Amino acid sequence: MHIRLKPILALVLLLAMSSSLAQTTVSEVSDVADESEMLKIAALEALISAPPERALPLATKVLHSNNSDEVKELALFVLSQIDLPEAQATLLEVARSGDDELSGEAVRMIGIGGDPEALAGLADLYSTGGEEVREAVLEAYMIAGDTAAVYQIAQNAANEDEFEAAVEMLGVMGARDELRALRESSGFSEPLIEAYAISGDFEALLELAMDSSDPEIQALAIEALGIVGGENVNAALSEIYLNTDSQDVRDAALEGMLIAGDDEGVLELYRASDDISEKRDLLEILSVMGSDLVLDVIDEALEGGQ
Amino acid sequence: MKTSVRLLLIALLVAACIASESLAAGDWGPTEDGWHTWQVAAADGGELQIYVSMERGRPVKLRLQGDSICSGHFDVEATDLGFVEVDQSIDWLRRYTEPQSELGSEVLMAISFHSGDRPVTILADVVKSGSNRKLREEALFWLAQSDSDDAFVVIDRLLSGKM
Repeated sequence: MHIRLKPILALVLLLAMSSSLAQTTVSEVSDVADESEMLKIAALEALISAPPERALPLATKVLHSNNSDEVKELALFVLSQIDLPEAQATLLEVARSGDDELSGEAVRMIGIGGDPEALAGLADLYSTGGEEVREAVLEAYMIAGDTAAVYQIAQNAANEDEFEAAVEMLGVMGARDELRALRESSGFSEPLIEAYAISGDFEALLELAMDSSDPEIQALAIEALGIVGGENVNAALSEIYLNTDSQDVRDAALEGMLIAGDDEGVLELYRASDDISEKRDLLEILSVMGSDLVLDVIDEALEGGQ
Repeated sequence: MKTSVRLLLIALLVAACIASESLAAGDWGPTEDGWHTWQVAAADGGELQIYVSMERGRPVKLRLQGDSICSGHFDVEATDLGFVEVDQSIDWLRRYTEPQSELGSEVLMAISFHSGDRPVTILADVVKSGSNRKLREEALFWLAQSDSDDAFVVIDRLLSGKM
């Protein structure tokens, strides 16, 4: 059978060329798209310092055009920096749009902008929005430092998860007064104690740590003291450990010292103890802490022939 | 015959003068090594003082002083080229907006502070057809700082994907 090589070779060559051409075209198009995207981002960044009345229509137009989320998110940031009511209104409009990704970002931008009217508009959005939007509203209030709004959310929380998220945010915001007020209205709970710890409220935690009426809450408060840390905490935890007959309280105090990293305090307790089993537990804590003081204990034991 | 020779000589003289003037305008600018300075009308209505340090015929440092420029006091011994036309200053600076120039960004900034429409035209050209992305981004920044309608038309077109 006679095979015609020339046309086959030509076809192979053509296929190879067309494939290479296609690749080049795709890569070039992609480069152009990247460059165009980068320039849009640069243009929006430039608008941040442009006259607001010039930047406002352009940033708004970007939001309503076919652009990537990254470009639109930057446009939202530009709007957050514009001190004009129209800019805040557009942010609220996007926040209410129902587009999860973009509305969450718009909500955060309202927090960054800090406009009281726009922030007030977020309360409605919180009650009607989905989980992501509610999370974004809490973040926006945190960014804006609006503790009163987060307190309202915690107080009106429809369920435990909502309460926990709001209380945690109050802790991050260091809103001790609001957290203490919540104790009056909602009683004690683990999230509230964690929030005290995050906010660094030593006094409130110490009060709970000394109160044995609810052993579970007491133990949680003692451990949470370790998160606050500091010399006051170290002294308080040692005192709690030494002045109790409850093993649970002692365990909680040791846990707190472990969290606080107070190896010197644990060593002091070790030296003060005559109980071999207790000494073993304390030595174990020191080892878990990775403390070099373990070596001191070993030296002392060797010197004392123990 | 004598008259026609005379006329020809006068014509040649005039042509030579014009040629030498336009050559001077095109070639204006510092060339020798060291610091040079000149003043030009600024976009803010004041005066822009430009300092350039030359090395081997090329600018290596650029400093600006003016009412809208928050820079510290700059004091250096420089050859004063006096108050020059905006076009002269821009034409000279523009040579150094090419991507390989180390001063590309500074030069764009300097151009943007000049008075008149030319800064926006030049910045828009860099945005539209510059070969270096960094310089295009710099040009965009300075366009956005201007209060010119044309500048924002360029930015609008870019954001609309029409560029």
